[in-house]
Amino acid sequence: MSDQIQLLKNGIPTEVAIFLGLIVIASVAGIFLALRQGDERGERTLRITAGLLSILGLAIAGYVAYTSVILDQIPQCVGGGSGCSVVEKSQYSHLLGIHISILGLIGYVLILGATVSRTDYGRIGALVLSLFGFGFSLYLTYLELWEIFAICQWCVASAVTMAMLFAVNSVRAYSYYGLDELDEPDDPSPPAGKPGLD
Amino acid sequence: MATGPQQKRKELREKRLKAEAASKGSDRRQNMGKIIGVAVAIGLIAIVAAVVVSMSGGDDNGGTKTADTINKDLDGIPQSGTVLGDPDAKVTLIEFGDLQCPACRQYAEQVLPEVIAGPIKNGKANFDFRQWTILGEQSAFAAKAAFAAGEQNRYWQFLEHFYADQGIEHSGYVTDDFLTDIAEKAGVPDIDKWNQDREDEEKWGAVLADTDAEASSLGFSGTPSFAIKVGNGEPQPIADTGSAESIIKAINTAK
Repeated sequence: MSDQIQLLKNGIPTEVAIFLGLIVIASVAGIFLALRQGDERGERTLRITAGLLSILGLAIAGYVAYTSVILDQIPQCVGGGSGCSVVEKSQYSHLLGIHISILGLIGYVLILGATVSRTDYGRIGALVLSLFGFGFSLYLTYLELWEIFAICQWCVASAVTMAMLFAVNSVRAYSYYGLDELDEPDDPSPPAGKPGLD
Repeated sequence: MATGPQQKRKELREKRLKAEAASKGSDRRQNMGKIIGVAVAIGLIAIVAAVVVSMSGGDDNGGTKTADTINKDLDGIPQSGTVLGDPDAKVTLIEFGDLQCPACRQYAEQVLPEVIAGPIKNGKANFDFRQWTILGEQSAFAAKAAFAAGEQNRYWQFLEHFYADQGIEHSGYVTDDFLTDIAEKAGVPDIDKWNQDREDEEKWGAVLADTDAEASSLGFSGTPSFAIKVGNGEPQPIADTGSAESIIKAINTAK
């Protein structure tokens, strides 16, 4: 385990660690703000938070995909280091022949789509997709630390983004599932102020 | 203003609506629990499926070399100092690498064996591994030990065994004991001489400084970097080093 801690210390420079910390703080702040705001405004805050995180994820996966797949080069680690190169050249950089960054791009696009949707399908879809993304990111991080013995900052940044998306979408699904159903105007009484049937 | 019966009907209606809302809320929570449970189960199954595919789908095209593989790769190829292959070959492939660098290890395990088995073994080119110790003092410590092994023509065995046992950069694993173990595995015949040779700070310090200057002049920014030299000409960086094929192509087209 000490080797893995050393690997993280070497592989994640201070500036990257601060950036990742800010992502976590902003996401947690978004969740707390949403819980304080209550129903509709709260869900809107969560959707904005998830949307921003998805766009960040798209940027990360997009850079890696552009560099690796289109330019056929190695993504550069911030502050130097060879971690990105080692991970890129490992057998785990592809799944069924598809570069992991392409799968990440697809995942973030789908999560963004589910975030835009204000229905229960959107809420549950975002939860399932971000749970899958988070779980698979955990597995990839395990591979980096215990199998490949190298840390790629882009992968870590994506894993943190996915973890935050999972947190935000879990709160959204738990707190707001069925919100539209409750809002349905099934009350047969006329609007207040008009002559009523009662 | 509502009359008595109207007021009563209004109160009853509000009561009924409250009861309906409470019932609906309860249904909603139950329904939500089921749906979220199913959603989480689907997510978890998808994760397991992806992990299984990832573990079974990748080709094992690398991995740590064994002593047998190292001997087989280098068997029958002459060595002189840091150079592997025919010393009179017209073309020299130069790697600027660091023994602590994991990317260099991956190249040594996955890319370079094909190059060594091809143009290096058949005498088309020779291969000079320059110690560009960009990862600090431990790398320089290891590099001097490798140079000392080269004094007994076991430089390349030393490199390969070092990579096979490589730890995490800067973690402090490059100790005297570690290097001695590598030297023994590499088959350095005279360990006492090797110990004396590797302590020649002046000699190896100058070699490392020259390599550092040369790598910088070639515009390299990280390890491993490769250059090619024809005869006594100046080394030229190889642009595409992503595969054994591209490096072999650079050797075959060098003029």
